[in-house]
Amino acid sequence: MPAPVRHFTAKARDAKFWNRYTETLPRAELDALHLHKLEQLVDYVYAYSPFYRRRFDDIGLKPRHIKSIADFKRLVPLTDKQDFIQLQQERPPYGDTLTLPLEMVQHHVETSGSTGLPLAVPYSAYDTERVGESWTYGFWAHGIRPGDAMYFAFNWGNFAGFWSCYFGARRMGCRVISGGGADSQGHIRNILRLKPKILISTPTFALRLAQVAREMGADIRGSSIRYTYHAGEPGPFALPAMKQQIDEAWGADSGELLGIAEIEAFAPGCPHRDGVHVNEMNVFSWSMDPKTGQESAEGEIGENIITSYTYSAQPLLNYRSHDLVRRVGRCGCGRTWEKFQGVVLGRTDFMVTVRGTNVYQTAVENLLGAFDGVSPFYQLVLDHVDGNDRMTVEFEPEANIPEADWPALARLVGEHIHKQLHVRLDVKPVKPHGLPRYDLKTKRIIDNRPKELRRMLDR
Amino acid sequence: MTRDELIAKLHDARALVYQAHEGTDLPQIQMILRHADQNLHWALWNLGVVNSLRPDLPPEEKKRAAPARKKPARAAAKRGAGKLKARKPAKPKRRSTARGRTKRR
Repeated sequence: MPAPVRHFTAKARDAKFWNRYTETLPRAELDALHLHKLEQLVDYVYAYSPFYRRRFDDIGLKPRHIKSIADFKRLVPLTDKQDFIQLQQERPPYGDTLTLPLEMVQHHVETSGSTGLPLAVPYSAYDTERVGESWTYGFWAHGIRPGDAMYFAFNWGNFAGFWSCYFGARRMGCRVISGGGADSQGHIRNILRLKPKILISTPTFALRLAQVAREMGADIRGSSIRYTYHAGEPGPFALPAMKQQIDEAWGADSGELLGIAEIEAFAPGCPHRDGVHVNEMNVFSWSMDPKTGQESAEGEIGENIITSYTYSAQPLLNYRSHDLVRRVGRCGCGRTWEKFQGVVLGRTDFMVTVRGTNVYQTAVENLLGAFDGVSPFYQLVLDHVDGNDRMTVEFEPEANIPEADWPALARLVGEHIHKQLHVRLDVKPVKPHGLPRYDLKTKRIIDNRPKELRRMLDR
Repeated sequence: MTRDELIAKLHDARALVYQAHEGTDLPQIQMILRHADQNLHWALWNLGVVNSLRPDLPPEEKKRAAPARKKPARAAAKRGAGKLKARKPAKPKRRSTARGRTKRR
């Protein structure tokens, strides 16, 4: 048998960072690079995108007007998912959003569509390589190395998230094992048989698989899995309770990447496991107060406004993510890339005001995840009653809780939420397996409010 | 090897890839070399050298751009701003990409 491939020199193999130069670049140099890239990007979209040219011309904006990062934030119009969905519906598949000849689109993916119509995302071949690279920073920091085997607990549909992860696995040089077509028990059997080192899944699906393994009598903690890596919904670096649950269930270290399917897999996990870093080689991002439209200061919660340099077939500039983040400039891990402490803290559109108190989905999720007796299967139901928004927490008790104890458990959960969030929510236990299961993004919010009372967003 | 030396090697490599690309009429080899050039462009990007958003844009794009460290970005943008409206989407041309690089060097 030939000797193993030598991927790296000895010094590179022991490197702390995937790219020490870019990941630790001083802020002034990062900003100079950003300005240079933003100028080029504005030139590019004005030349090639009918959508952006129209948008710019409508307000008299020319590329030469962008002379600073502040100009870019202030002058380039905000974009939103709905803009692009509308254009794609008018002229499928991509409408006026395409900036490359169609023959250069080599991979078609879509957003999950879990909260509305899916947005079509065209990749050029180069884009697939670059979005894959975004995953590798987090893989490397997490301890994943070339040659490690990754098990993809997904079906291979058009969802952008796991395709980009697949591109990342290829760029890193990992062995890809597809779980496509298997049911939950099949995934467990595959993992025990094929002995991958890393599980790739949504975080809630990792918990579901662990539960299925327990029901099968399979020793998943003693399996070959050493790392789990997640995206697609609030994960271990956003929800400490979830980190603990996944780590304990799998006997492994869980990791997380924050991505936006139509933008980039743009924020690899921090080695400190309490947030993610913005990949400032591939995207430019800043925070905005969604109420005032003004830039939020470092450390304050604001909406992540993001621009991708690397999705060249359908660039999104100053794109409203509707993710509320707390941006910090320094991190003990050594990366100079800005960090989202706690990943995504909430959604501008999933914030509801209940009895005068702003309630964010993730805040409730954090409390439920840490509560003994509450299983990972729960949902938040929104109604509008007597002129007010109302949120009901529906949860499945753990299997070992007798039915007679469910009302008392629900009361305790309600009191805990009241104590922590200063709001009283209705809490209702649901029989085990009474709530739906999801392979991809788990739908936590069931919004029964009249359409006109919801925010004008589809996510 | 210093960063500047590494960058110079990568520029050399792109020039060689271009020469090889132009020197063959085998579609397979041309496609392989195109991927090689993309990777070299990506390596330069990740060393902070951003000459273009893509390696396969027309030459006008390349002439306007400058390495991030060598020329002030604002000046580079100003130089090219006036020409923007006239440009139209075009198919990638290998000749343009590498020729632009060779001239700069």
